[in-house]
Amino acid sequence: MMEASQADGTSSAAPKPPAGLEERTSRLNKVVNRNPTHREIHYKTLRYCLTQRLEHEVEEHIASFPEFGYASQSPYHLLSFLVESGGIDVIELDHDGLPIAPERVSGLSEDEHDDLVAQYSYKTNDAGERLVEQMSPKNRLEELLGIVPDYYETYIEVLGFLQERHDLGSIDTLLRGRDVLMAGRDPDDRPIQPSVFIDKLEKAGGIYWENGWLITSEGKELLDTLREKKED
Amino acid sequence: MQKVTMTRRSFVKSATVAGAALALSTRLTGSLVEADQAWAATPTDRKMYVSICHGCIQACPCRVYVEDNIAVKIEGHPLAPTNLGSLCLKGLNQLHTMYSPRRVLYPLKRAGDRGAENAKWERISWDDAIELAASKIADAIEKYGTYSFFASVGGGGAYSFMQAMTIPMAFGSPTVFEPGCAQCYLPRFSIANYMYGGSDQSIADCAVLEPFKGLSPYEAARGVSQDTKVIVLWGAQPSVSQTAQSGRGMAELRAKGCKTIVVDPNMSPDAVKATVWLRVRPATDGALILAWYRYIFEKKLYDEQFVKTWTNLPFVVDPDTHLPLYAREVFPGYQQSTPANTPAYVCFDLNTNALQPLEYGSTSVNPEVFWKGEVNGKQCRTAGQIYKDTAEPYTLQKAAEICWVPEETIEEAIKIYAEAPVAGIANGVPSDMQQIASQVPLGCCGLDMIMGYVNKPGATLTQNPGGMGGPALPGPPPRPTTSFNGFGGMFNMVYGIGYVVGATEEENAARIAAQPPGMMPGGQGALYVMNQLLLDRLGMKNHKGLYQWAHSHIPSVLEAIKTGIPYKPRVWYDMSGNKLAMLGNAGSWYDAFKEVDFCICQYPMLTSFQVETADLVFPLEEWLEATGASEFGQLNYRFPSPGIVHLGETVPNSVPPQKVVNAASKKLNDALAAGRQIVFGATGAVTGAGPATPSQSSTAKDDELQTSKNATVYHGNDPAQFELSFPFGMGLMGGSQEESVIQQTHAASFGAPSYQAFMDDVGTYQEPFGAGYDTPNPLFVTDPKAYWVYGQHLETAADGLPVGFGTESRKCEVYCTLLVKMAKDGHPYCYPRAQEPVDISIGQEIKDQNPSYEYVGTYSPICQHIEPIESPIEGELGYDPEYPLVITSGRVYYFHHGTMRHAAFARELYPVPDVRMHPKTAEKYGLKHMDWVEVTSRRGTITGRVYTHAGMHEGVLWMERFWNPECFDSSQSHKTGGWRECNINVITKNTAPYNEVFGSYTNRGFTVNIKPGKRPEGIWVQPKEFEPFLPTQNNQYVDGLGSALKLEQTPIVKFSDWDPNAAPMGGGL
Repeated sequence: MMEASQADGTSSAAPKPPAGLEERTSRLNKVVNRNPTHREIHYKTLRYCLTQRLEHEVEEHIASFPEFGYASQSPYHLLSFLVESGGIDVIELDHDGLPIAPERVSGLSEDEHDDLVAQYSYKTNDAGERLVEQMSPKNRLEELLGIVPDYYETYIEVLGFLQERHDLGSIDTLLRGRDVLMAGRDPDDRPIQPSVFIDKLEKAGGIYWENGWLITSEGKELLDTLREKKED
Repeated sequence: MQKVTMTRRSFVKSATVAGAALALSTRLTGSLVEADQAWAATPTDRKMYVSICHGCIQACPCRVYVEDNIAVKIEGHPLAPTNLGSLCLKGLNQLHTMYSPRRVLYPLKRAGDRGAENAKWERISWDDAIELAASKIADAIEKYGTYSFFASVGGGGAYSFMQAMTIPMAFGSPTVFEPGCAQCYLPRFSIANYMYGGSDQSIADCAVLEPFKGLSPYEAARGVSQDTKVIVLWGAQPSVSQTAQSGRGMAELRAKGCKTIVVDPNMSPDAVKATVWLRVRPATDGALILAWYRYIFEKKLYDEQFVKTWTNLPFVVDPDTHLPLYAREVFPGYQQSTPANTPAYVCFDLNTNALQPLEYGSTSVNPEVFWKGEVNGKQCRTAGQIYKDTAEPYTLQKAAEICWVPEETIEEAIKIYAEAPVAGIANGVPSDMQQIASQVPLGCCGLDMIMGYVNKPGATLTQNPGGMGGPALPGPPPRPTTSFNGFGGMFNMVYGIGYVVGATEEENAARIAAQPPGMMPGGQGALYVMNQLLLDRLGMKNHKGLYQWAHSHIPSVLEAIKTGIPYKPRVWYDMSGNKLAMLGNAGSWYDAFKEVDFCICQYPMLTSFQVETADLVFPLEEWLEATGASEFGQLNYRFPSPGIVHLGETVPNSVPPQKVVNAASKKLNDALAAGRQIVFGATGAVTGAGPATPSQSSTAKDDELQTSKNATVYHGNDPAQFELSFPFGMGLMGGSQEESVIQQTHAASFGAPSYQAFMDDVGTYQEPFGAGYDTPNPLFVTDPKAYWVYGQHLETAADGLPVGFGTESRKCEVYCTLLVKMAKDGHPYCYPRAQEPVDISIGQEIKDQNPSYEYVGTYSPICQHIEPIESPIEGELGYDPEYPLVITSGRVYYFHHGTMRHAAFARELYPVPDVRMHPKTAEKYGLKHMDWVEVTSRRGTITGRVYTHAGMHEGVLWMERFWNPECFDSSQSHKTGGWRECNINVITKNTAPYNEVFGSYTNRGFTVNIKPGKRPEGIWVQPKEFEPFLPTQNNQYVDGLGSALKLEQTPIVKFSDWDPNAAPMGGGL
């Protein structure tokens, strides 16, 4: 691409063509994964908005997530990130609840436009939809289970253990002293902490914290599938 | 109040940032309404206070003038013994810092997504901010364990070293780091400590004081002489780094005829005025130092008597252990006459022509310094012979080839240094930023030691109450000992961990067995945890020197954040400035931010780091607001540092961490009391401690304490015995959470009955002299006769022997045995339980040496030359024709570390970083003076501006660190964090090979390519462009809602040259 040179010598890129789906999904992925405490909220919000939702519905839904208790932003801000990063489209609705077509606002002042809008609704777009698919806990968990073969059985055991709520202490007691902790030693030959399994399973969407660690529904689903396969 | 037209849509957009508009400067936010024109009445009173500049860490005493509660003028204090009334640009620009539109005046919570492009902030109350931080920490610890917390700090603008070192420990975590530390001062500080238990050779860090005594006319009148006649500035440039203090001091020294030798790739002002300038190729100092050793040994220029009596060079060394042989190992049944804490070694005695025990203080043997022969069936050499053999290849010619310095220049420098009656080396920061971080201070300290330039008038290695020696106590001094964990070994004392060098094994064991072992509550149980924290600290197996300041290895922390292995640091409390400007290979850190759950920052400004990453920012006081901000003193003087003015809700740097620790600890203790388990990474799950102190556990009964090395999970302890509570151990150390306590303590130290009296009666409580300047106040000025003392090692100690030094041998260990022991098991830091030995990959083979000798799987105890891993020399391993030029960096006058890039006047003078190069180099690459130039390394590309001068070597470039706060100014159409554009730390290297002892990475002396570039978008260059950074009447939080914020309590900034008709420059509120 040619670069335009400005009079003051600063570099300035020429206008870019509209981003394709791949690029938009990548950009969205970056925002969704920018803060670990927001990651699952973003994912679930994108999934929730696969069906068009009203603003208050989305905010209330976000506030109901167990992960929201540990978020550092309001539901509105969390939703805004997804809108600004191109994962969710905003649809303006009039007083009859109907979408406002572009031709209806053409020629209106900003205030007149505001008067026309009664509420907003939100709908996950194609980039958001693509990311929902990519980030499904099933996909993430399956990938995780394959990364370090030595960890496989422990991941399964922890998922099973967390079918009931447990604090970290119980999990630590379960794992501390096991040989598997030596399998993942760091460059200093130091055994890993049991919390590593919690971190990885949470990041894969397999467990969550709500006054203790619990398996997610997706984690349970995968666990059951894997156990069935093993029995077969 | 005049309202600005605003649509409802605009109002909605602005509403989210309205709170922030009150908490921040206007340049960083949107706008609501236009403020009334408001300014203070004509000044009716001007008052002067004494203070200490905080522009760098040399802390120049100064006077600050205040009108209507606004600081309007700063000047150097005329009675200051080194800066002598002068003050540099950094100090003068404090007004631009104090009243900068970039100040954070209230607690800020991020109100948008992370990232600079859309950064939004919400002002919140202090109570809410503390609660938020405490909740995030407590939640993470309950969910992931204590190792999930980590802290960081830095050396520019906010000095919270003690708080940052101890806050992780308070939460049971081992993780803290600082971009400086291993890359700035720790290696020089520690190596000197290892070699003789004394202070080091750094001018910048106020360790070297001797050269600057007697410069003040008041001190000269009291008979204090100026004794330094030759000084070597090895990689130091005081005229730039500490302009008003040691820079001024150097100017005075030169004027008095002191000869100076400057070793520096850059033509600094000190280099220009040097008697001899050695323009060394970056990162080849080891070869140059070894050439000095070779020449001094060959020409017998060293102080033979001092070397034989006061260094360990005559000791015979076991080639297998690399340690000196004890006399008892060679002479069965030998009983030394000296105390057990002063061992006898082995030497070759010239009187008897045989191996003999070498007892400390003995005059019956005449040890040979250079000897080799068979001992106990092994071919052994003395430490002196080992050094000689190592230096042997480095002839002047060889050094000239490697270092790009003419032979005759090297020789001239050595002669000036070695033929002087006394001289001293001042060793600067460059080596800390290279793989040779331990090798260079080993060499430089050792040179002064073999020359006998120790504890003498005029020498840099002198110990006085301003250094590590501390004030003399009554009675004969004890046998010197040295503790190492933490600054001055403070963690040995408070936590009980660590071996005291100079004490016997039995004495150390007895100290550990005592209940409690240190000042810390919790006895052996807490000792166990603290010892385990040392073992579990990231990156310490191979780089054990970092224990000295209780810091983690930065690349290992980065790796743990990214991979989660072996544990994941995830809630971050940063206590300093711009990590993205100061950390090596900044992009690698930026990529890791997405793994951080929550980032708490405290700083007076918003920098790239806060804008990109922080979730919560605590507002800190700037120097003029903070009581006791600088306590360094100047030579034998100390000056007060009162809080003179104040803005917003800023607080001293100790307040937020103290409050956060208290609040988070309460949450965690409540959880424990409720029966919930907390996982201490060091021990496993812990239950039900409540507020109780840890229970006792016996070292003897715990098998793993006896046998386990670094076995976090296998120690097999019963968690029930570790009934720990929060804050762990001594909790957070440093400062207070009440500003009034800090103020009263500071005032009392200067004899004031109250802080009010301290501030009201400046003449009595803030000035060091009484009327007539002939009666110094002893609270301010130590008697020079008590302060400037020499020959301490020669005094008679309580055991009847000469005092000596705080090492195992009681001598200057030019051959640094402590390093060899440290590599093996973490001695003296990891005690009672040991760290694992370093990997076999650690250590360097010494090439081109006859006989061949290697340090593999250990730390080298002597200086070595290591060719830089990215070498400009064709044929070397790290050569790549794609990157033919070597680049290094250094400071400029205008800034200290990452500070002051927001200071308009400084930026007018130095808007963007120069890339200094030889005119021929510029021509070769199609560049001219002041052209924009792209600099590319293997890590990335940045932009600077060409500055040509013939002082540079044609193969070398030089550039200062930089970041550009204008990039996230509200006027920018596309905001960035301002750290990618001109920041050399985008292209520096933070991967292996590291310095073996300290894990230092490569900020300097790596290779690059260059080509013509363009001015980066958003970068300001012209003076007019910096107007938004200027303090104005409108540049505080003051805006249209000012009255609602009790505006009357905060002064409006007004300067004598203020033009009331000028347009407000603060964002047009």
